[in-house]
Amino acid sequence: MSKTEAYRFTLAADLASAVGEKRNDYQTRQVSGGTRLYLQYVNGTASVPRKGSSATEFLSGVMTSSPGLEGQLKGLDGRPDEFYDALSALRDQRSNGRARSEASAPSALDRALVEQHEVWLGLVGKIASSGDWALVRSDAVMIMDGRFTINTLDGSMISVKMKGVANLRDAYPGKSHAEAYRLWVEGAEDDKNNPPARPIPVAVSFEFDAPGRPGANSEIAAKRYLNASKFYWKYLRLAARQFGGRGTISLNGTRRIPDAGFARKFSIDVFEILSPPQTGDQPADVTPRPGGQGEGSSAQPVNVS
Amino acid sequence: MSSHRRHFLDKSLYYLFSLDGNLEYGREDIGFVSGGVRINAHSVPRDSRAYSVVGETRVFGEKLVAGTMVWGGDWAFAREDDIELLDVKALIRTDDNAVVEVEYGGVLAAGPRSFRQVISEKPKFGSEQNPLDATFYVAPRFNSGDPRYAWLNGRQCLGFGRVKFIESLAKQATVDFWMMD
Repeated sequence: MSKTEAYRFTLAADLASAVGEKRNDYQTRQVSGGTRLYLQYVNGTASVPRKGSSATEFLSGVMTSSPGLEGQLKGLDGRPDEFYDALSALRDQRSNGRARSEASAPSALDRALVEQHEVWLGLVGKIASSGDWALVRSDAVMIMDGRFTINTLDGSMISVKMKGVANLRDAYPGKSHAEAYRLWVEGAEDDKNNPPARPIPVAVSFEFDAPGRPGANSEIAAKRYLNASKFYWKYLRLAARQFGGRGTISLNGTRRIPDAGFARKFSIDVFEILSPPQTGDQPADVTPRPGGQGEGSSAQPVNVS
Repeated sequence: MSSHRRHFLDKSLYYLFSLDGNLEYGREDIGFVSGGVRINAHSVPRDSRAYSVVGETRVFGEKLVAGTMVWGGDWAFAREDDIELLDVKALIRTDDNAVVEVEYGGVLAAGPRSFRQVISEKPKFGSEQNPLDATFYVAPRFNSGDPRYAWLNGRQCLGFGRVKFIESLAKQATVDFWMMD
């Protein structure tokens, strides 16, 4: 079966209350269909972890400790010579220091890789502002409805809308939907012997607003707007493709207060949904380009950390 | 086919409350996107206020909102056709400790060539001594889990506001909310 997604980066944050934490406030959060939480993502980061399966996937196909093997790696054959030259240069840079995605001032090489070869350089930054009006429905399904802005290391701002689902039944094994919701609403007093202090799965979808080309406006735009779009080429994919995510929300079974008293943190791996390959069994995230394809191409990018 | 109506349907507007937002806290320039410029503006936490300009505290016997905006943002989109679309979410903690959600879209039409002036900042509009006031119109809905404000949940409302620009930056917004009935 063809690959249908490609890992891009990981979001992680602690969850705090957006309205201040007041005790015994749950009864005033009962809205139609469930209980409302007002969350903020604090100490939030977007990054590509150096370890773990996500990092392995991110680096697969490109990064190798064996010089000269790139062209033999699955999916990387059939590219122009300059692609391999660029990869070699990237490998040299990487061996000398930081990951590409952590460079505060992307190089001309970076831009060439992105624009000519659709390489995905990764995304590193901090969550600058955030809010999530999550609804815990009476069937124990938590609907996340978050908005936040990522301030990348190169100074770009990326606005994000995130919608997701987690099932609180995962925190209360063996309980029905109604029982799980009741336990959650009534608080940890009822389940102090079995607190749901464990991560539960969450699946989300993303809508990114990333800097784009200034285009004709570049001739008249003030510096602030030109600066905002300075590295637009790195993030064009975010606004042009569909992204989803999988991860966990960590719960705290001893909560006594709304909002962050229950959900403490989340970590979500962000994936790009890939177009299915048109022919053959080529891996979708490294489809060889026949050359000359620009933005909007069906070719998929290569990950480079 | 029968003739169309010759009279308007009954309608009434009732004043709900007003909201002042201080926008100086956070401005996030996303930059150029397809069709315009995206800007996120956030209110200063706990420095923005919901209040009644007429001193009334109730409508239809129900308690009006007065309190502090504890969180709020506008995910605005300034279009190349000189229209700015507003996309606002805010949370008010009332003086009697309820939380009221505010959510609305709206339009700020600053006039011909305003987009060009916004992005070029030539000349910058508004000054400390003479801020530029621009009018905007919004269609809010409110939501609260607190029984004292649950009467707001089923209401579609209107808002008429002004935003104050200084040196081409939105600094303060104020809006009156009206309930349709």
